[in-house]
Amino acid sequence: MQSAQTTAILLNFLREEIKKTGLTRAVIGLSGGIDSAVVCALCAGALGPEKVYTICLPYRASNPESEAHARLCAETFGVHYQVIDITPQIDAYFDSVDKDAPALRRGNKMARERMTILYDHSAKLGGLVIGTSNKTELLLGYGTQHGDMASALNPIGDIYKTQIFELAGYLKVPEPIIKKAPSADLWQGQSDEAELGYTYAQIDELLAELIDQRVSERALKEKFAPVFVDRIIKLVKKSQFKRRLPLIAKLSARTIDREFRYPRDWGV
Amino acid sequence: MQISLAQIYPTLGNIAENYQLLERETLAAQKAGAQLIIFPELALTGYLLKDQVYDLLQTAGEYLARLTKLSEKIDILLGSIEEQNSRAYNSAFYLSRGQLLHTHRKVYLPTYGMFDEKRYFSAGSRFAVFAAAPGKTAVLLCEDAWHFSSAYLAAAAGAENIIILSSSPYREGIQDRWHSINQNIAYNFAVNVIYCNRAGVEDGVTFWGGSAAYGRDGKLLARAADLEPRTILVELKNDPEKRHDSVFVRDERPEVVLKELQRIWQAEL
Repeated sequence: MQSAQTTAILLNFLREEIKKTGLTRAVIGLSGGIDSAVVCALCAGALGPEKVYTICLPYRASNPESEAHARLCAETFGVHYQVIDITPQIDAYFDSVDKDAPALRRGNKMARERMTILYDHSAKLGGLVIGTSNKTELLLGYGTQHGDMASALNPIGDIYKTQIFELAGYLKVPEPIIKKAPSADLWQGQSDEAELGYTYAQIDELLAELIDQRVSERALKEKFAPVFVDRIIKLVKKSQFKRRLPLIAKLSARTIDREFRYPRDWGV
Repeated sequence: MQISLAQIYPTLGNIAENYQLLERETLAAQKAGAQLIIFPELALTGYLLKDQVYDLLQTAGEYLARLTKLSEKIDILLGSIEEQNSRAYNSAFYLSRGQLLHTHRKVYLPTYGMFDEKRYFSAGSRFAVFAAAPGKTAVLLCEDAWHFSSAYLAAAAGAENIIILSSSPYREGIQDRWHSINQNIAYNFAVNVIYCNRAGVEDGVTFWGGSAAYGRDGKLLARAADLEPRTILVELKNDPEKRHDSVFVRDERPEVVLKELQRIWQAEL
């Protein structure tokens, strides 16, 4: 990836697509991780740091290092920063509804709670929520639908995780954020790569061939371990619904998005 | 002669606003001494129109008539949508002395990957050469140029200049691809190549700019910056010696191509 060229494209994308909506600000959930740090750097570059509002949304079980890194990121790029603890509402919900809810449900609930707070600040501040999902996690479905996957614009959705590292270096994201192991931080000690069972380097190499170069499954299995290929293809297929709008039962001759087709920039 | 290459950023679907932009650019070019101003593909309407193609056909026609009146003192070449016999075309219009001198309807409508042009447009079927201010000229619309036969046919018909109007979306490597296509056309057919691309963003798609002019030896003469709206003035040379030196101009045998194509096509059937 050519980081300089990619950055120029993304700065222009953010500036233009935000300007069209009539808004001038960006709202970003800062997790302390590399993806939201890259998005923060891009938004600060595109709009000026004074137009960028970041919010760190920890839960009591979140790694304290995450908040420290979120703060470091905000300070580095000079953007607005605040912390909103989501523990009270998450605990109140599960205490009253289901004390035995497993970690995955709790994690999803937290991701969606964060989303509603970001969207409330979108309305409060007159800013767009900028997405922080990269191409790898979008393809694997490694994210919460209507949670961290929700946004108005996503500048990094066509960039694989391994390329994010490269871009982060170019954008001068602080070293500790680049160096630490990627984690969704939904519970203590969680690690993306441990959970996925493969490294991002392995996954991205396979995805680039599968998705971008459209190499056949058969050919991929000659190069990569067949069990690995099967697992990744299954994840991509299984999560297709997360990348699409809800299905609409077709009745009329002009169904929304099927025959009724207008660009999203139609009304702006 | 001086040509103005207007790498503009039209607003999607807002013809009235785009007309203002084209008018401003045209008057500025006229003032700067240009004899021809060139705008990108679908300059009057924007590119990712989808169903708006049908909504805007009539308005586009009305504003084209207004632009035609602007062409009294400077020639104007632009892309817009066109209605002809109730069909929609992605067309280029060469306006001169208050008249519509030439229309090119896009022949190759990309309908793959991110493109869906055939869903909305009917295809043209001619690569005509016409006499214009810069000499014998042919116009191609974006994808047309990716078929080498388009430039070949224009050159076979005697084109000395090939002008390409484009709305080319950015994806990695696209600049080099276009540079190579433009340079090859210029060199192989000993024609001036003028490439006018647009700037701006529509639905997350970036149009990368980089409008450029090439001499009849394939040499890059001028290039506008990437991404940003820019207007550049280009001095277009009519250098006959480069035509005389060209093996295409001297030795090409279209009758062999025609005969062989007929044979190959018959064998296919």
